[in-house]
Amino acid sequence: MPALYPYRILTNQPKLVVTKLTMDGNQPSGQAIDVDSRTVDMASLGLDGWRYCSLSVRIEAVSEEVRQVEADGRQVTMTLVASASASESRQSIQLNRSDVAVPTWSGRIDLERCNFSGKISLRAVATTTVDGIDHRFVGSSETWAVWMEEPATAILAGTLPVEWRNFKTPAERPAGLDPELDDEIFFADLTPKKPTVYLNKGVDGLTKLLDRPPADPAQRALHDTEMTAIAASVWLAMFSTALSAIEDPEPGTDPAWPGEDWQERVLKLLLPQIYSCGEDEALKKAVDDRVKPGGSATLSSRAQAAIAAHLKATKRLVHSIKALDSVPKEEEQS
Amino acid sequence: LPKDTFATRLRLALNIAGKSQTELAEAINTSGSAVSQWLSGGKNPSRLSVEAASRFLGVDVGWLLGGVGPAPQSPGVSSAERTEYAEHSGWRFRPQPEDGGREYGNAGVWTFKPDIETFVRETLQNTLDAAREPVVQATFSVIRLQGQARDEFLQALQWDILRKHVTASAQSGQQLGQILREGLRMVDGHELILLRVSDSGTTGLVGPESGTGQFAALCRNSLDSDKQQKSSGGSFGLGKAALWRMSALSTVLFNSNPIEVEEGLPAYGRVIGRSDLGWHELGGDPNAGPGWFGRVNSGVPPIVSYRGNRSLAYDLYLDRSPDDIGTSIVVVGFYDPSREEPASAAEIVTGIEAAAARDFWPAISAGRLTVTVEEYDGRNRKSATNVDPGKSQPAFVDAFHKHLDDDVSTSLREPGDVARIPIQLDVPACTIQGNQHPAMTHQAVLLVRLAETDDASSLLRRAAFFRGSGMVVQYVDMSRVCLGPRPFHAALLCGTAYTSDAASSAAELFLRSAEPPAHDRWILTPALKIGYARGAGKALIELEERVRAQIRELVAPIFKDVSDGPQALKDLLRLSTAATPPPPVPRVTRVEGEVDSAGRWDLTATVRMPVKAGDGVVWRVEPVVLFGAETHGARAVPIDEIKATRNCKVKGGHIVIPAGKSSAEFRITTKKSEQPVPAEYVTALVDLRNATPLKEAEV
Repeated sequence: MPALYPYRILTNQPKLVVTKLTMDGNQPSGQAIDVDSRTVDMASLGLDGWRYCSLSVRIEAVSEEVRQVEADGRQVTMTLVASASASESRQSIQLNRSDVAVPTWSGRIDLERCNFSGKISLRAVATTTVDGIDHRFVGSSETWAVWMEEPATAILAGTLPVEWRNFKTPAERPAGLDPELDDEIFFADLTPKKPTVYLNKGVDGLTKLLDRPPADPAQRALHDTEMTAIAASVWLAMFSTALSAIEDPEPGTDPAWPGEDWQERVLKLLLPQIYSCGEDEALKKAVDDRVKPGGSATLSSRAQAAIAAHLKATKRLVHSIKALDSVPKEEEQS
Repeated sequence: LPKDTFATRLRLALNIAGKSQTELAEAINTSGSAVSQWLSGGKNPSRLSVEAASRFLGVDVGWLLGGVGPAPQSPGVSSAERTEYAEHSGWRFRPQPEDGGREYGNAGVWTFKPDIETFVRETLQNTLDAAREPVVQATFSVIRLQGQARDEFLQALQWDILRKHVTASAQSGQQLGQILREGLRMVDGHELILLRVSDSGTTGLVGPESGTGQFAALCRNSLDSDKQQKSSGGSFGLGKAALWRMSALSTVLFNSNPIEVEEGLPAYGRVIGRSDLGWHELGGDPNAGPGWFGRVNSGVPPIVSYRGNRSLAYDLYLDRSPDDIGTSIVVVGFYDPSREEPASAAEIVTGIEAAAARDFWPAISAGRLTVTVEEYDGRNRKSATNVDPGKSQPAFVDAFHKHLDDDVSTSLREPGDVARIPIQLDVPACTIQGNQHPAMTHQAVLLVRLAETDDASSLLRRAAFFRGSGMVVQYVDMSRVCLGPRPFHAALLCGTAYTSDAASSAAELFLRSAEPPAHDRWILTPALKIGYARGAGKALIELEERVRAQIRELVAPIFKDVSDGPQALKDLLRLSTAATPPPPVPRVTRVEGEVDSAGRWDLTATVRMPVKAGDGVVWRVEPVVLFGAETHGARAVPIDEIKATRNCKVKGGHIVIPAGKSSAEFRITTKKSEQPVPAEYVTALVDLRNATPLKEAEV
């Protein structure tokens, strides 16, 4: 959806690069900055006990565009903004400019660890004075993701942790699981910070069935079916949790995505499938349906269909049925 | 002449036999320091030791002991030949051209980064290009000349004449002049360093004295590559300029035993020297710059190569055995321009060993090239080392050997594991005369070897790109293929480095054409633009992208998911948003407009349909205008007016787009009285909601 501005802006995004990271004033020995994926992953350094980090940045813009925006004697200023929706925190600094080759801004932002939670979005915003009004938006860089703590989902694999626990042993039982449910096959703990799926190794034969695909066709079919069923249940639980995490928008405005990165990812994956439209429109429709009488039930059933499609559940089931059909024949042959 | 002592006789015997002090000490079972003391005159050996030494060195024991009996002779050296070359050799400099133009040196020499690595790359590349046998041998000899040895060398070179030209050229204020002044100081100083590069198993310098051919390309012409094979390393003819660039006197000498000799000419040797000076005036005669040393010829050219005089070759440190086909090159006054302080002979030796291993491990590991680096004091060899890339580049060599042994897999678990992955290179159609071919697909091969976590080598997380020439063209930095990659080394074998089918040959030529003069990258060169159909640049970019993608796949970190659950379930819970295809509904692709004089946003939107004409679907969409803000969601604002301008109709606040239209356009205006903020304070977005496909009948 292209946005139109009532004045001239920078059409090419200024390029933001995080050039240096220090933690409590010291440069860590590991590499946390990744320019390609625009990520700073401090959690990957495995350091603990630090209080604040400092990020040095450099921003470059296209000379010609800056010249055009500044044509009337205006000056473009660049502000670096770090914001984390999960902790509702936001911090900014104005950057210093130098025009040696191309317009370049640089500076350093210090972020207290205790002020931020979840994904921190880092981007530079260019502003200028338009029609006598200061600080009008004229452009922004691409956004970097900064993680102080371990992301809820692995940055690279993008999946939830899945752990074996014996639900019958109090020491191993996942926190939050009702002790009476100690014979459940799995438990999805969808706390916002660290969603985890637990499998119950107290259920006889479950580890053998799920840990690796069995060679026997009948067991293989059961393995596939059970795996798909667990995944479908977890997906539905994730969807419901993420949906309820959307805050009611102010009247007349569109809703915003939930603060936790994994929740936003779940919704962005399923909602466009459910409503066959773009992400933002689908979010709005979901929020509308959420409060309509009977809307939640409809939404839930449509979500199940979308999850089944995402997991290719029908195809997997057909595959399992075929595998089962082949079992008697093989036995006859043997 | 030096006084005839035991020390001088022993030194002469060692030189003629080509043996080092260490070799002698080992052969006669004594210590190196003892031999060293005999040579310095500090101590005399026992009679038994002298007898053993004379047997080992093949000299008369009486002569070695007391100078009585026949003295040994250097092979092939005779005073008659010396008299002959003293009479017939000389220097001749090219006269200034008739138009009076002045060139202050050969532009080609400034094309290169002047350091030992570049020198080694260029010389070994030339050696591989001239390969005649499956294995070629290259020997670098760093020779320190002092005292008498230096004087004898300069006398054979007719330094008294050359010096005048060098001095005249050094008087120019140009960059070359500064170098030559440094070179003159070197000759007058403590020692003169020669760097000799000899190759064997090559073709030698064949061809006539001038015109075309290898001899003329190297010794006469500029920018002449004379390389016929597709896998040849060079293609610009600039590489040889590195020889003169590393000579503080801009002077290089050659001697070659060519594989073919024209009838009537001696089979042994063709000695020639070339001094690449700038324009200079001497004795009132203006000279263009370059001059040649060899046999003075009454015709054209005025200097031709001096053939069949082994004494001249010996005196210029260019001697070769008559049956050793190949070429010896001596760089006179060798220096490393990249260093502030002059490099010692030992530093030069180390630099050559490192550079040969770094850039030629593919050729050396494949057994196509052996490289030896020697250090000499005059005629006395002090050390000799065979370059072993297995020591300095163990990771790459190990990966290569595992590839040859098929000890490879497609994934990496433990340090030392090597993965082998095919990589496609799309070679565009070639229009080069004699090499025309249609577009082809070449299968290169990527080797990735997992390193130890504490590996600190400078080439860690780099990919060595090379082709059939066996020289690493470039070490591409792959440290940022993903976040926190595991440590690794990679190699991309392209062209005939891996296979020898038609597509490989085509890829070889394609990549050779993609190399700039320094042969250190694959880029869209003018040669590629001229010789190939469109897409050459894209093919090179895609090649590197494919390599990056594969390496990313192989070395992505074992991330900190320590959870022990089944991977299959984790895969089903993957939260990748990239997989969702955009839904097939009409979309706004372009918006134009402005805030009109009434203070409303007046916008024209272009809509693109998801399906092409002919499927009978009519689309109904609800257009909305949103006022955007930097944070929070956008706000929909009331519409004043919608007008259909192309391929659509307006019906009850909706736009209806008939079947068979691929795009439509409408104009939409906001209602000023109900705008929450003035239009000029906000951005405007146009979106389509509730897109509904209808049958014609429903409309």
